[in-house]
Amino acid sequence: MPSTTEKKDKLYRLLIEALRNLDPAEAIDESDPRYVNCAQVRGEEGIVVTKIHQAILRASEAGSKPRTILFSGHNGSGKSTELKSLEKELTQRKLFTVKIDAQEALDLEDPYYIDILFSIASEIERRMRENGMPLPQPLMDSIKNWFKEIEIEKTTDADVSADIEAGVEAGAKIPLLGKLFTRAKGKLKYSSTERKTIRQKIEPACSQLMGFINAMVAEGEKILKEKGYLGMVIIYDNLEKMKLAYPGNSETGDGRSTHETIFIDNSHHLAGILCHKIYTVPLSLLYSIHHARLGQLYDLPYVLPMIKVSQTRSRKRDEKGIAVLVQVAGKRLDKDRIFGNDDLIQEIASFSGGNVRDFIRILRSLVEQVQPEDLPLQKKDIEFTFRRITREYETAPSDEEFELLARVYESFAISNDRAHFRLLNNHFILAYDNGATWYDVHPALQRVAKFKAVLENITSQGK
Amino acid sequence: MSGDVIDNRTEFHLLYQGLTRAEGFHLYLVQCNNSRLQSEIQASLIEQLEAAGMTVYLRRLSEPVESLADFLPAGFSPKKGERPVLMVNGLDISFSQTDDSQAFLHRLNFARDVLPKKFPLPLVLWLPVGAFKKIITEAHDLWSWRSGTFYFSTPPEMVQAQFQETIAVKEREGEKGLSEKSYKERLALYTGLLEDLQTQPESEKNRLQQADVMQQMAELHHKFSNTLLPADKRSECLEKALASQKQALAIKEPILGPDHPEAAISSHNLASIYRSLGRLPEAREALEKAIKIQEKTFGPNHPDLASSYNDLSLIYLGLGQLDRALAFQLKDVAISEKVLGSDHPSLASSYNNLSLIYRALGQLDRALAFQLKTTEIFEKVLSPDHPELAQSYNNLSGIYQDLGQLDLALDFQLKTVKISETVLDPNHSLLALAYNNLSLIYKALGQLDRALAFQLKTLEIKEKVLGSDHPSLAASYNNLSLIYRDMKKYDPALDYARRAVAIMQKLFPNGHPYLDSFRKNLADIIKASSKTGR
Repeated sequence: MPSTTEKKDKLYRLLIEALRNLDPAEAIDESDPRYVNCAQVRGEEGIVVTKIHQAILRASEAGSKPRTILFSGHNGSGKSTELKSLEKELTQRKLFTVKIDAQEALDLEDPYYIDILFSIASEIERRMRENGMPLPQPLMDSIKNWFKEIEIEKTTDADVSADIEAGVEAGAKIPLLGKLFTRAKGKLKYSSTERKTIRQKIEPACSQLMGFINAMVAEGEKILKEKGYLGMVIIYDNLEKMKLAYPGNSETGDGRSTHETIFIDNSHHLAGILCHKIYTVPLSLLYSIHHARLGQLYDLPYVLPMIKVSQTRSRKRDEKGIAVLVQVAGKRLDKDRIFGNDDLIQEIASFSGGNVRDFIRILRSLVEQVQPEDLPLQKKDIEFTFRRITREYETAPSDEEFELLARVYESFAISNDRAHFRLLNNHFILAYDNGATWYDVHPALQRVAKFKAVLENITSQGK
Repeated sequence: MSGDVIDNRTEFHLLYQGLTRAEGFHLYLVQCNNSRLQSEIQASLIEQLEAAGMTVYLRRLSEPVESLADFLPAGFSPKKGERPVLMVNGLDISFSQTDDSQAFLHRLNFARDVLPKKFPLPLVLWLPVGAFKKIITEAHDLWSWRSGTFYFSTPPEMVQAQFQETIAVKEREGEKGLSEKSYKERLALYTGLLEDLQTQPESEKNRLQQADVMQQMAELHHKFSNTLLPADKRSECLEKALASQKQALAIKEPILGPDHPEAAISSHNLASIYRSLGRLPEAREALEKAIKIQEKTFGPNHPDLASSYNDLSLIYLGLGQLDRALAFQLKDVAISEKVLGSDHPSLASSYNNLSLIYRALGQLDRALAFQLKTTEIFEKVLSPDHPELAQSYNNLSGIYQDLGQLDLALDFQLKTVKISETVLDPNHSLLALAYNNLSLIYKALGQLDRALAFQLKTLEIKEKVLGSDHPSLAASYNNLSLIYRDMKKYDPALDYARRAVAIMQKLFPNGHPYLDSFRKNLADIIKASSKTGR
């Protein structure tokens, strides 16, 4: 019979173990034992990854035009996890993935399409080389010359001799072009003055850059096909993190946002690369007035919605969605010892609004607070945590925003304007899908006294 | 633990527990609305965490940073067996710079990839009020992968209570001299208080409280400036006092109205500062304004009014308008005798000032009478080594010198020096003055060795704290030359006389009485020395 201290120790260790698995910042992939496939409960659109890779496969097999897919979703909705999944799936199906992380490749505060194109070129060269399939020398040479011509990077004598001495052994040394790419990439990312210069030089010659990129893709795919691949897929992650700014009359001019400039005004560049591409995009862009236009410029954008934890208009709990989140919890902690039964977990699932990260964070908070002798957790503990979290939503929205939120609450819809996009961005409004997209105010926000007051005001006024 | 109350205590406990149970990188965000409270909480938290076997690293930002990841030391890897926590302070600076805070916030967003690699340990960011809102809006990615958020706040009543406390502390400190350490401590206290008030919601009450703190700060600067500082430092300090007081008045006047007694106090303080700065006309103007309000509000027999009359009198004294100085001082005394007890120190001060004025008018008997009254009261009510008593003795000594009664003059000056040596900083101007006066009395008494010794003591202080071209220094050189001359030691006499003239030449034009008199002295010494064939 274990003593009380032994029992307490055991429970304590359970808590610590749980905490190890409750990191809101962690992105896991399919291979992780904690992974739960949430696709089914994200709504129709939810089976996004499958849709994407099916689309690509079909196109590849049929030899039809390469797809450009825009991928988005809320922070913490599981985008990165899904993309990791996708990458795995695609590789298994013999597609060569070139994955680029915007956070590494770009200065997200000053995003520009040229930087994006450049980083794609650089990454293609590198990935091919590192996988033992270097691009043909003549192509590399012409790109090198072009660099020299438009004076992006001067090849010095030292570079040349080092290059000669090294020979260009695939995988062993970095060829000159690779170095040039890296240097230019570094300049674009880190130096705002160099960036300007390089952009100014490339922009008028942009079609040439596109030409070279597509040449790299063409040659690349030739080599890949010889090695048994179906083709190349570029996955550009974290682009949605780029700064949303309105640079005014600088390079982009006439009040266009950085997002619009890149994804709309320069869509022909992004879409013009002749292999399959997946770009992550800011959610607010997808929900903007450009939604239709985006549909024309790109292949239908995919959004990873929240896990549906409640049903439209009734706000009744959606059992399936909640059950999945309970599953998520179950894989990360000892449900029975820590919670006793599933009811409390269901409450938390509901409160999280279907955002996986928030869900995990709430669980973490509870596990951090509780003393082993007070296990299993009780309803009052949950309520306490809910109250603490609600504070985060109390002062954040402005008065006007509270009004907007109240109206979204009533209508389950948003207007296509900046104010609403901000709220979507901040998770004050969450997007769901049940064949069509619908919106709701974050459950935590719904509890805020001020929100309730404003809501009552609006309803009593009869709108 | 999960009681009904969410307060600082529960938050503290939750933060503590979270940190003791965390492994690897976790981001904890703390918002605190009061810097003093934050310090207390941090100290307590660190203590408890370390008692639980953890190692706390506290880093403070002193300037705005572009990127948090770059600022924090590279490769902060915990030592083996250590359970570290990293806490970062001072982010309010980066948040408040509106131009760069946008960029700072945006970069925070990307920290997720960098921070966990660099710092595989719990990271606690201590943020100012309003920071969360900014992060939610501008750095939502960072916000979304936080592991926990905590709020600590001082309720408004507590801020008020803290304010009362600082006033009480000040009153307890009373007339003691102000050391640099106290000055800095109190200044920090007031500054903190002001900052807290500034984070509270805007209201008239809040602004008036801020004005009060500014006024306290002005008084503090003023008080500190009175310790012997190099002239430029003293002015600098006084300018701070002036700025603070003006600010306070500017806030109070529109809210309270131009005839409010508080505006009178502020004006009065302003006048004192101007006086210390030597800007007598402005001092007079501010004081007359204060008096007008007080006469209207208080009626003819109010101690505050008496105090104002007193100050106005001294300003006129400084302006050389002795009749007006006398008139107002008499007004002060009239009220003070009526409303204060006969042994009240304020009354004694008024008598003291009256004595000064009479002395300036050459009416020595009256000067003596009132100075004796002053001394009598101070000896009764103040401690025997009170600086004000020393001052009174000093004045008595001066009057007795004027009256030619050197023994009494010496007695009282020795008393002055004794107290000054006990209570003042060794480089205090009043101590220098006391030594100087003592030296001159000894010289007059023919006790030249002692005269020399004390004059050298004066010089020591002056040389330490005054600029090398200060007239006061020149005066000491001149005094030394006179003493040496009396001793018939002409070499040092000449040397010092020349030095005195050299300074005065720089500061005063030809024909100026100071310069002339020193030159004459030099000439006399030259003559006397040549007579003895040197």
